[in-house]
Amino acid sequence: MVAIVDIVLVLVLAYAQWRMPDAVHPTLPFGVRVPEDRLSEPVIAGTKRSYRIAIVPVAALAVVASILLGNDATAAGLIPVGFIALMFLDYYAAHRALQKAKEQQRWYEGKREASVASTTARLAPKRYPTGLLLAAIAVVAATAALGILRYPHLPPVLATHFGANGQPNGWETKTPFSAFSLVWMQIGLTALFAVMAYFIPRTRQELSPGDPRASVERHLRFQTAMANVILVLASLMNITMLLASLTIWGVLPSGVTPLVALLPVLVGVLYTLWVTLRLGQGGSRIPVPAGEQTGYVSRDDDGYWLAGSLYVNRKDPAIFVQRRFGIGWTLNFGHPVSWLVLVGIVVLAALPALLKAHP
Amino acid sequence: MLLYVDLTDGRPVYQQLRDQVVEGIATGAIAEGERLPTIRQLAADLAINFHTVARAYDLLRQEGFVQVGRRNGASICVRGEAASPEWRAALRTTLAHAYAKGMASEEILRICREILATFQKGGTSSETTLA
Repeated sequence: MVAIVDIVLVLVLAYAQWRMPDAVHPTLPFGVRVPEDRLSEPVIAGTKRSYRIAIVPVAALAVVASILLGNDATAAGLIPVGFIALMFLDYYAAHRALQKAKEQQRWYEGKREASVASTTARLAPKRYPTGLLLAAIAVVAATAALGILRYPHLPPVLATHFGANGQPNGWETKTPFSAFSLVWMQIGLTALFAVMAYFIPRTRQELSPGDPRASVERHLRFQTAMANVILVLASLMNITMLLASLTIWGVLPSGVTPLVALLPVLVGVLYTLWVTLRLGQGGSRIPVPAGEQTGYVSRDDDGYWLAGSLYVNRKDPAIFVQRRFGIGWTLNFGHPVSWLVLVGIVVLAALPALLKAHP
Repeated sequence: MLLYVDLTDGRPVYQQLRDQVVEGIATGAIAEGERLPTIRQLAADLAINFHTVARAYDLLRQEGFVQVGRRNGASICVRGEAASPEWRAALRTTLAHAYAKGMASEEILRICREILATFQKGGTSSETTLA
């Protein structure tokens, strides 16, 4: 059964990797900044082709490995990690090839590089998607209410962990903490996503100086859509935890539930993938009428990006910046606060484990 | 309004920002009382140094174009004399540049009028609300 989860995960990741070159900003193929008039260079299409061809054997290998080693929990955890690592190497090969071509052929020679910001867009009021947040909170409230009703009827020892075949393999004594452990997780997750939905529309504008007006339009629509997606994902993850809680509380039979409980999360992941690939990173795929062309090109800031993946710029006051090869944001590791954020995320992730050790 | 930072142009970035705000006020792209982003917000949006934007805002404040609020925000607040000695001196140099190259006075004045015609302080601007 774990093998099925692994296979689905690998296939979803492989699909996302396959589609990614079309979803990134047009001036950032494989994390390399390219001026607008060089976007039709044959080497760019060539690297895209090679990159995609390489995905097939790697995915096939991961799927075969899942089938053969699937029931070993450690192997099952390592297979997606290994797949991602190999995918990074695939990306990096394409990245280096483009960097070389860009340097050797001097694509940026004679270009007018610029940066542009819209003061109006920055100061415009941002509407928070309160409705979507309330939906996510409603699921938590329903879960908690059901738990409170069931609590007196629960046995003194609860089955809280389930094996690959759906049979219980871990038990805990009934306490408000252990019985409601997934409700605490729902609350933590909803709070985290609620905060993200607040900050997403306030991240920095990364406008294209060649056509700033069209870029502003795309930027605003992307920010709004991403804030919404994050809260929809929160609701779906909360539903998964509702189903899992119902299993722990004996309301749902344990035999069939692991896959059923994960279904809302899978739907959430596929939905997020669909929306983000349609929008493109920064809204680059949103169709918007072209505005006045300024003749500027995006600045060549490759120097601040390690392998086109890690951003380090001490002079840049921004903490969250858009990823180059991917959808969403990454941290500016040249900014001290980014390290605090990183520590915060690690602590949050480790919290359930820490709390279990010291209830 | 849109603020550009031309990175291949020789001019200092703080000067470019100051010039664009002043021209923006003259063309009506930004109106009296309208706010500018905080120094940090603008620096992040342009991916430039905080101190560069701070310098531009400070210059605009000294010259009597903006007032800086709490938390490093700013708003347009035009005050003080128009024809300062510095402005006059800069204008003299600019006119001398054209005149020394043989441009006739009438031609220089014609171009001046042409440029002045694009200004419409406080009126409706051609920029969309998104800019």
